[in-house]
Amino acid sequence: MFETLQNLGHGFAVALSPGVLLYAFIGCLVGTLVGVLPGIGPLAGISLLLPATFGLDATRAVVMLAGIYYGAMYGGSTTSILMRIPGEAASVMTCIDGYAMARKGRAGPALTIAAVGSYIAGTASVVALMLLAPPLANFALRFGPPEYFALLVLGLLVLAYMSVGSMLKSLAMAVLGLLLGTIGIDHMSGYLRYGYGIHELGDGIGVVPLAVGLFGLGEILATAGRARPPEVIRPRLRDLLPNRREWKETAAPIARGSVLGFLVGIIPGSAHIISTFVSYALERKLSKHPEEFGKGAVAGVAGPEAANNAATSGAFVPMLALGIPSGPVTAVLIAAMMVHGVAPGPLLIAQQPDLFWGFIASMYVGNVMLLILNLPLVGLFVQVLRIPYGYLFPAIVMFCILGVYAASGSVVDVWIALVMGVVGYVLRKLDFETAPIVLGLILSPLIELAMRQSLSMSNGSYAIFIEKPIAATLLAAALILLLLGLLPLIIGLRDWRQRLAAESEGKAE
Amino acid sequence: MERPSRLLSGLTADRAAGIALVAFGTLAIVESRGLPMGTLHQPGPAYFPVALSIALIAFGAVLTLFAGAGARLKELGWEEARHALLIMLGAGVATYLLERVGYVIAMTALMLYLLIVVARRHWAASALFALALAGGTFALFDLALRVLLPRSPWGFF
Repeated sequence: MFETLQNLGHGFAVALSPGVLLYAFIGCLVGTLVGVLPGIGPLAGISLLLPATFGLDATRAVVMLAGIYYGAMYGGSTTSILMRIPGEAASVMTCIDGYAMARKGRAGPALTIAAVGSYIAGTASVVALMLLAPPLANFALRFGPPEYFALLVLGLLVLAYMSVGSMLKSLAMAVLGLLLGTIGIDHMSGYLRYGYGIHELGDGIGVVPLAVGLFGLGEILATAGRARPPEVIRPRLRDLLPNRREWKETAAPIARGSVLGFLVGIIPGSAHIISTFVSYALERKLSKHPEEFGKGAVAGVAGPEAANNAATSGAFVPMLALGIPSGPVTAVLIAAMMVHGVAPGPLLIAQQPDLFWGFIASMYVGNVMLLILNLPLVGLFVQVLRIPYGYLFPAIVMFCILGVYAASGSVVDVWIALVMGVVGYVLRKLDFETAPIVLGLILSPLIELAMRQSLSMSNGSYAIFIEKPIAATLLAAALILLLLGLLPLIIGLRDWRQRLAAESEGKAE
Repeated sequence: MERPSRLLSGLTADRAAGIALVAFGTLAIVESRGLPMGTLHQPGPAYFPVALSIALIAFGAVLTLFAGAGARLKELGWEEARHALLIMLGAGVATYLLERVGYVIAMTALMLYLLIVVARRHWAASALFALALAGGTFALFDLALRVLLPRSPWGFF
């Protein structure tokens, strides 16, 4: 414990240095804007700003990009509460009671509750991240290729199981991502796979063009033709503070949302989104007045907002300790670290203490910045929402092209992003989740390498995956999840994801 | 005999998606023919993609078989498709021009097209906005952050 505090002290020395502090602030500010603006999620925001970090050292780059991630969680609540439009997917549940509170003249308190809940959950979950990541990294040092293969397979299955839509579709998208990840030079044999004479494809499809295409352009194509945005409710700054009853009703949901969000966040998948659904359902179940949910219940804002911020910290645990992304955002963050020559994984804490502890400390600092940014400056962010969509979407399309080109200096990547934009649009129309594609693309070389190394170790015997206890346990868990996910399809029952989705749709109407 | 377009729009969305997945998986297997499969002991470069393609075909087949009752393709509401097509057309032309006429000219042209033709904004405000954004981002990324962006063959921007 003393060593942890000593390391944290060292981390604060890094995080509070003017250079790191400045980039944490830029990340938080951009993240809040990204969260506020409908149509750009944290993934697109991080992908677009990735090239701007190339000239920075790894610590500043990661601190800024992570700031965008958790900043977007704060900012997403603003549009949910004031416009009933989730600025970010994780803010869907906040729309229900946050907007209802705003309609009753309680927009200010709703924003404050969302910001304070986010702050408390964000800070508390960083403590958990700090305590959990180092021992997990030590444990992961026992992992060889079979264990890594099993862990990655389990990760993909958990992602598919935890997806809000159909598990079958999510699995298909994960496999599609894995398949796209095989494009390029096979590092074990030197063969170029599916290159078609385009030498830029030798390095494979990059995560930036894929993510920007699927999430940035795909979203624009799906929403560009819509009518004028709905009216924005303007909160008065002097009415920001909740009353005593509202504060009292806030405490327990924030505590529960923090714990729940962090635990769900560790699990691969769209954790920050799912955590809000689960938190909302839990708060309504525990409430003495469940009939108030949907009509402006304070707990319906506090719980989900705390949960989605805690989930972002939870998602950093497997990323930092194991080097495994738990979702597309952490996948892009891993790509960013790799660009700077840093390999996340069990050895990160020992080899890059400045980066690890500086990053942890910057999250404490970032949460304070976000609280300050999101309350007094809420009026400024509301002004951003007044930019007509007719001006906004051309700018986003331009930023997508700029971001992709700047990341690699290759026009081929821009073409890939455009194709992926169309693919993302069509998949959205067909009700497919696109996040598993990004995760599959990132994990593909890791899974293939682990599988081929395992088979080489065992002289081609697949028994190696069940002879090693850790690998066998992980694969057994994966099998159970697969069966749990496919059972409703076979016996025709609605599973928890369909029930939650139906419930939220019913509430949102 | 039913026309192909009517047949396609009469399909359920999930069934159409399932067929597309099967087709993509099959194409990937066909394209893997030139790569060595290797052995179980030493899997070759085609081993993993072929295994994934088989899985994709299996998922596509299950989706096709179990997707009788979902929404039909034509019921999905494709009203924004025209806008989407216009946007992609502009983005495609701008990408083609990017390294030929330079970043500032290509992006200004793209913005003008999207603002005036697609979003139907006033031309003067659009021109100002397009020039400011294309020029501003060039200054920020290329000049300030040293991220190299394509310049025009005429020596400016």
